Amino acid sequence: MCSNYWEPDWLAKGPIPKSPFQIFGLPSEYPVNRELIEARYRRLSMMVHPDFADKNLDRETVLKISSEVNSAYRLLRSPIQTLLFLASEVFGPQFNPAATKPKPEFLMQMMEKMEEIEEMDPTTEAYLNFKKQIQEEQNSLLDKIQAGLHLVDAESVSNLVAEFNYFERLRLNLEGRFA
Amino acid sequence: MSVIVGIDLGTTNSLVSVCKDGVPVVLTDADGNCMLPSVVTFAEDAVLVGHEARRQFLKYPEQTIYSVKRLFGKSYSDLKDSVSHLPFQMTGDNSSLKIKAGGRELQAFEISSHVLAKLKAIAESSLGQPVEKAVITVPAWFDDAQRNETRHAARLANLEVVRILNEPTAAALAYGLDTKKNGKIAVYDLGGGTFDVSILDLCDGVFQVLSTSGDTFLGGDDMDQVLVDWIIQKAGPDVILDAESRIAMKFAAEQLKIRLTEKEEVEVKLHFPAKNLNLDTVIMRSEFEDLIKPLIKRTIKSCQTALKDSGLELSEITSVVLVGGATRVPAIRKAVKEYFEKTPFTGINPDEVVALGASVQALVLSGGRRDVLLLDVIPLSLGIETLGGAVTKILLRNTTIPVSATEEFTTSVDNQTAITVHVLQGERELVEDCRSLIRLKVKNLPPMPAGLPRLQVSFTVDENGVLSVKAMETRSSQSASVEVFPSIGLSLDAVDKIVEESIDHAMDDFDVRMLVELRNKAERIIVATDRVWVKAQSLMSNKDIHELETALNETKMALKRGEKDKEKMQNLVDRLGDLTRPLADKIFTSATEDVLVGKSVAEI
Repeated sequence: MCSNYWEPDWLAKGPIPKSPFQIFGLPSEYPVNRELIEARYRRLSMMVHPDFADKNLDRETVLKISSEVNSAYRLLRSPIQTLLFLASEVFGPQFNPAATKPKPEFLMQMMEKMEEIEEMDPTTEAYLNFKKQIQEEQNSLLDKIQAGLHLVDAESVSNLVAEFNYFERLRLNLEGRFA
Repeated sequence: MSVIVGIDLGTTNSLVSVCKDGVPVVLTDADGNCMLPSVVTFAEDAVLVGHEARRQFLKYPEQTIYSVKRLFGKSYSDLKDSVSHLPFQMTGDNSSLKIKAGGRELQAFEISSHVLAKLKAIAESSLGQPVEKAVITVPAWFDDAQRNETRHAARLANLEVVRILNEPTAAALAYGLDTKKNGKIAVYDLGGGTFDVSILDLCDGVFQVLSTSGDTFLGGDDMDQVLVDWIIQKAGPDVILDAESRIAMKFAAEQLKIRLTEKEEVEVKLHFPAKNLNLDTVIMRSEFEDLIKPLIKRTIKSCQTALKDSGLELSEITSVVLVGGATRVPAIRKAVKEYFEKTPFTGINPDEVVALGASVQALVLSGGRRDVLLLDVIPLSLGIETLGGAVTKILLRNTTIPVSATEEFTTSVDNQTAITVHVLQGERELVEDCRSLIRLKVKNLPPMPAGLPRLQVSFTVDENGVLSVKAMETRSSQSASVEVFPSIGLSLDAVDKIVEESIDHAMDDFDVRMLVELRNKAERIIVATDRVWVKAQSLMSNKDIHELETALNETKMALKRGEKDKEKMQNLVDRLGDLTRPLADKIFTSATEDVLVGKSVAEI
């Protein structure tokens, strides 16, 4: 299909771009076009995977390029990772969710939810309900983070990311309980 | 150009295949056999391999070695209990395993090399040309030690391994090219000794592995053993259990299992008067199915893990491919069909599909075709030991290879002149529950306060799945690097049980790890605060100083008594954090601040 035709121009010109969006020849936008990413990943892999890479390149370069394409693909497949990348592009070093501590009310809410998981009835239904609840919270946080990118407010976005991460821990705990 | 063959080195049977005019075919021996039993007999004056070895087993019961693939990468102490039913003699310790055969003590790969050498000979006489290179398949769930044992066996048989390929991936390749269909497929591979399940996305020639899971100690062998136990029980207490009777029962059980896949009811007539073994009875298929139920259950559990890791819903799986002779058992087919909610594809011979796929990959690697690409993953997570015996993962399982990742660490003790990087493989949170791969040491560091060194640790896994580790202290530019080829045997607690356990213990682990991290964090804060204590007096009000002192003392006491209550620890650390943060803002450079707040990026 002509409309899908695409050549990674960086491949001939030299160093692999730092931005995963540039590696995939896409604008820095969220949400990403999943289908296009899948198609371009297959195309890129056919060109850069060590089985098919340019035989003139040294081994180290081949491994570097192919693992960076794989990392970029992994990042673009994960909504939160994609948003984190965009946020650090927009805000620079100001954006530091790791050093952000959510509000006490939020932390209380998390503690309660942790307890809720521990005391939950071990039924599939309860598990699925809780999982859905977490997923909805996370989706709404993703939306808020995306909106935050345009409001140019590093601190509130950092806070949203920190909250998202708390829900991620909650999710892991839930899965641990129900494995 | 020299030919590259594809080899399926199986627990029970092995095959060699090659692409002729682009079409994969299994090569046969002079008698027309496709499959070579993976059995080696050390007779008085010769080493017999395959059918010959099987035919002579009663003559050399203690010299007939089979299922040796199950011993790959293991030490004697790993195996002691689980192989008591094997008729041949083994010895060793916690880092080695030797098999007594032919008047010598041999390692597992030395025995397997005879099978590979025979396959090489079969290929050479069938093709009429020398064969020096091969793609050899291994269970996806094999760890580094097991893969390396496979490489050793090939080297000894004078075969150059151009790629170690995962069995389910090879099967998917053969399947995909046969059906020419895109889709998301599950490969259920139950071999003689190992079980793998992989989920792949097949699209326009790219075979992308999404996830893989399995059990390196579960296969047709275990079904045979269940039947052997049944025979022993039926035969009564008088039966003599020695090498001879055990090997006879093992091969009888194998036949019984095969007949039970065809018939609902099978006569069992076993007469071995010298061993007091006289059995004349019948076994119903349903009886057999009840016996193997726990084994089937374990495979389905792995399927659930693989599906979850793939990020797909059950309904998105477009087809299920069965691989391995053991998948002929009707109860297996039924269980797979029930779990995946679709009839499994059985269009390709399940015994041959792996070898066929291997020869396709061999063709690709020899430059014979450029329209097929395999994107495989690492089956187990890789990480390093951090403070308090915790494992910080650097590469997560099911990450597509090649892959490279770098993380930064620091020290927790002042004036360290060397840092040891302990590399681990596995899913659990604590060092003792993961498999140790290697330790590497960065030496000659100038003395620096704790928290100041910047140790960059890089992991790279290449397209062959080989891990290399680099560690560099960036302030002094001291570095160390290594390619990981572990030599120690695998503990039974390791790979085959790692994920299963890690799910069972996810809760425990999570709590334990949180506690370890909290303690470390508390210690870091205490050390850092002590260092600036004098300065702090001039920067803080008396009230704040007093409050901080109380908090420090309480935390020190909690550490001293080894506080196990996570919440108590959390409260103490939070309080210390709150009290020291303003102080940190005032006096710390960015380098030391890291000590105070800890490595919180990695905790998320």
